[in-house]
Amino acid sequence: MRDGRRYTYYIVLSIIFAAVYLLQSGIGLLPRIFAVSPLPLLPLVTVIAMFESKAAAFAYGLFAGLLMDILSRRFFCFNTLFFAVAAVAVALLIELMFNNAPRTAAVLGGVVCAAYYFIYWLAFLLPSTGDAAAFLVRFSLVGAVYSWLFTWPFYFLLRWMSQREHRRAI
Amino acid sequence: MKEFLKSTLFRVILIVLAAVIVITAVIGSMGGWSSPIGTALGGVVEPIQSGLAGIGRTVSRFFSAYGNYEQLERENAELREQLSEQRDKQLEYEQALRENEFYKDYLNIKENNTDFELCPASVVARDASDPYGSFTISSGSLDGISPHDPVITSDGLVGYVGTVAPTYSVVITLFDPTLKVGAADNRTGDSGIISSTADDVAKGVCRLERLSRDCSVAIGDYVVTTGGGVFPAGLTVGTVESLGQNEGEITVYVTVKPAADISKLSQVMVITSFTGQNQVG
Repeated sequence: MRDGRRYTYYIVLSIIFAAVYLLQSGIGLLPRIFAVSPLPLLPLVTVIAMFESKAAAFAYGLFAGLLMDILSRRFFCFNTLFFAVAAVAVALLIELMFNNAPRTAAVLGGVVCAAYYFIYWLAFLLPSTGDAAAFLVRFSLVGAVYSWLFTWPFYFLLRWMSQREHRRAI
Repeated sequence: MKEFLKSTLFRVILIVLAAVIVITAVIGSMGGWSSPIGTALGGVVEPIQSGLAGIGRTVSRFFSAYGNYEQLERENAELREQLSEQRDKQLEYEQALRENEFYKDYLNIKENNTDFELCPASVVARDASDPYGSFTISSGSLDGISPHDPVITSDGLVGYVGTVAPTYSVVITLFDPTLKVGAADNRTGDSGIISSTADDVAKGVCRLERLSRDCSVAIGDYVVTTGGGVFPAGLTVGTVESLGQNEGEITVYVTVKPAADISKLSQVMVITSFTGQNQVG
């Protein structure tokens, strides 16, 4: 019975994961701010990694990266590598260093979002355009902040789900 | 931390990441064709995205077609039921009308360019991380699409196909600096290269650069492709909005408003073959 509840928890989590991915990649489903679309999968994977084991975090990160790479015209494994490594790193930091708290979620979500956009800018925009500094401010900075805003809603949702699943297990 | 680095899980993670990197190295030689992983995942995900895109368009039309739904609901339940039936019929009618208009445009382009082989496609998803607005369409190699095929609408040029899988393709828009579209003023013949700055991309415009200082391009002129290579000649890129000159440069540029509204595309056409098409590796 306890295993059944755990499977239900993971099924619900996977549905949330799929819904966020479809929202992110859908047309006009999320509003654009200053012509920039958010990447809510970034904070979602961060928050999942805060609540799950390293193996589960790696699996979700890897899958998120693969899904994003399908839509991407960039170097195929960029998103796969980033999401997988970031998810494992967050899971390790929570295990070894930080408390699982809203402030920690905000910090880790901000770091992951900033790191993604900065590395993306460094790898793909800086070499290809003479206007790199403007892209850093106009798109990378705005995109990182906009994506980061999704961190706390996801954190509190997953915390509620995790607590509910834990109470049922007891 | 040391225990984690020595653990089996860490070794598994390293092996999986190494496999991804090796696969990517192989993919790098495939010249625009999608990887087996992307093809497999995309084959599962793309139909869902197509369905969701259709639902999103239906919901959007529902709310835009009817203003104050709450007020109608309060006023009369029976009228609401009748309205609901009429709405369904109107949505079906509008969808059929739009598809009819699209295929009329498709026929029009075919009649004006008899050497074009066209493949219609729906826009099903966007790459939210790409500032240039690349997007995924619902047609792929099974429909005859190849990398670097031009993508257009009845209004004008959109970009070209970057990555192709059997059932979907990723389109690179003309804002992307790697595209390097050769274009010219349709009236004066002054030619240049299409490019974009960060500001331009945010505003949804591009530039026709490397024009000579004595060119006679005017606001309102049409800009078209010059042909040769990836794009056929004569495809409308957009209209001239303003003129400008970068500091320290002897050439001038004009800002071009793309004819196709790339941020709101739902249907496109891919030119799978035309006279003079070069194979780009």
